[in-house]
Amino acid sequence: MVTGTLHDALDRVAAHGRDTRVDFPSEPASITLGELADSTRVMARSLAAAGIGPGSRVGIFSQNAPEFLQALFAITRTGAAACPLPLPTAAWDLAGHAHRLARIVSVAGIRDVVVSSRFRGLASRFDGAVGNVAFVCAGDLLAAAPASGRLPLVDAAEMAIVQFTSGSTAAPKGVRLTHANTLAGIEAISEGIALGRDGDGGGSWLPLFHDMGLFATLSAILRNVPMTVWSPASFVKDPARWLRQFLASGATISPAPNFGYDQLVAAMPPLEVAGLDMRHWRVAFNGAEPVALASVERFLEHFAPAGFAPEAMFPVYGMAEATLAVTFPPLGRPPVSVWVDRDLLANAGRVWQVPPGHPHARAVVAVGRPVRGVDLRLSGPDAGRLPVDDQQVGEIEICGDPVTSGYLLAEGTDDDTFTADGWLRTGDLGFRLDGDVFVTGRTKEMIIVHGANFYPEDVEGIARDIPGVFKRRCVAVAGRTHDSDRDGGRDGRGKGADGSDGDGAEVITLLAETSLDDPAARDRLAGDLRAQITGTLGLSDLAVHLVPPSTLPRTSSGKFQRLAIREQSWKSPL
Amino acid sequence: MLWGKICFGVKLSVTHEQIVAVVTDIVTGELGLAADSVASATDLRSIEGADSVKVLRMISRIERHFDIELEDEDVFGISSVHDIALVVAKVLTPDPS
Repeated sequence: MVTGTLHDALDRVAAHGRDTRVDFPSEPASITLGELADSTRVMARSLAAAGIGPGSRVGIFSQNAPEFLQALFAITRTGAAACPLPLPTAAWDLAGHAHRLARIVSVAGIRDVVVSSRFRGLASRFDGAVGNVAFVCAGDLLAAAPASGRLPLVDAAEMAIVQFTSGSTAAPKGVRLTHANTLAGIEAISEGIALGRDGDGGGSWLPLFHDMGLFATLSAILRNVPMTVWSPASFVKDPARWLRQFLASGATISPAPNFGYDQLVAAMPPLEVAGLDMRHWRVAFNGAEPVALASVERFLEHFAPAGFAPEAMFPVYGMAEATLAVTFPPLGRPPVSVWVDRDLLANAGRVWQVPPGHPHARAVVAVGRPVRGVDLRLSGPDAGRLPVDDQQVGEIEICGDPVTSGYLLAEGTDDDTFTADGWLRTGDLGFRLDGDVFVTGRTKEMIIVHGANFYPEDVEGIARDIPGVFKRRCVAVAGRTHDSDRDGGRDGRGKGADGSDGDGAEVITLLAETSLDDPAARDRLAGDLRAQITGTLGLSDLAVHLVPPSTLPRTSSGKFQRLAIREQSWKSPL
Repeated sequence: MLWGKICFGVKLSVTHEQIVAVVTDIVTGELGLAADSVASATDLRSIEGADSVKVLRMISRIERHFDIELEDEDVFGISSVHDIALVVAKVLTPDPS
């Protein structure tokens, strides 16, 4: 059992690792653990003087920079909980983003947001649209701190971080993580990869407001391991340049979603691979979205001439609710996968192994065993939720020290996440084989694009109001394309979603009724829908299908028959 | 060939139309579209396939072309060639103050 608080843990590690650095090359900036510990005590006195303390929830609005980490530890020192807030990306509608933040602020009861100096200008452009919050600059908090002042003793059972990566924009869910949860989660991550070996270094380009970016960075810090944190844009704009910088930094461990590995393969010309030295990269976490065997194999083959070790590719399963890690493979094992019958899996939840070339073959990559402190079980879909046997798919349920005890929810929302006996229902489906967990799909209507979660209800909420949509009638469905779609059309767009049994790209498909006939007007409507929805939600892409009025099937009570629509949306491209 | 680079310490002036032409070229190139298919005011997010990764790649190519760096906070909220051209012009034009 881990005891104490996040900031106690920082103080302990800073006592002997004062000079260990966290570098931010995209800023550029750098902070040592000693500076981090000292400055956050000062910043905490400022926050406490402003009335922030136990029970408060304070937002953090910052790019990947020292100020993010300073704000986090300063907030927890006061006894308050830190709420990392999502940042907008390029071409993201600012008003839409302000609306999203306003929902989070309201659900979490946030009154103060610590903002980095770089984002202070952007925050001022929100102009009240985020709600009744005060944006305070991290630098001002440091400069204006009272010379003295007592900080409270914080209990390990207090909330330390509220992570808003679950839940839709309309009804955000904040994962409540106590100090005990986060320290147990960091312990699990560290043990799972033997973090802190001689020469270890971490490197990440994930946003710090994202659970994977945050807990990867905190794990390095609390294990006295040097860490380099790039900006997400620096990776996306030029993945090859990022890879060279990452390798030159000497880092040995890095997290990324599956799509990041695709980007590296596409960006680095084969002729230049042999000139790289990737032998020291010992853990390449592949998580935050489903792991695709094709991506893993391509990456291993492409970078073999640079000495990338197959066992360094580390497909994992996790979520903010578990302070990140749920299952890790055994350290030092190359990726493992099985081929199963796609139709039996989707229709009967049955695990039936088939040869790779079988017409119904679907590859599933193993994500390993439950990490330290996490218990995992699989439950059947029936009312009794009985445990499933080894050949059967079930919903993944977890409990343990790193697992949240619940959410901050919008008023009037019920939390049906926990079973009667206290296990967290993940909404993910999977099976077990030879001790490994395999994740196959989801019970919830959600897609993950580039590691971020999106919900059909948010898409519908925006689409309904767009002129040209017949009587506000539209339905959005989540799903995945088949790999064959992806191979044929690169991403299967236009073919639509097929429910949970595909293994290609995740997509949201919007079906909207319209009475427009003119092709140009229809194109305009489809374009408007895409622009408004992707701009407001920050969703990277959306398939739009226009259908004639009164064709989306509804029940006698007037509700859309989502399941029928979902099946139809891919069987007959419109 | 357009010049946005610093020559002899002086940024040569580039007209808005010239910037628009370059930006349009890069945008349509990244999306694999005909050069005349995207008007200056077209909302890029309405184009199928114009995902957030491609938008960042376009910005990266524009930065390399003009030898400039666009800050994240400048590119939040941009949605058309016209918007991008304005941000580029702001960086290329020496601040009078």
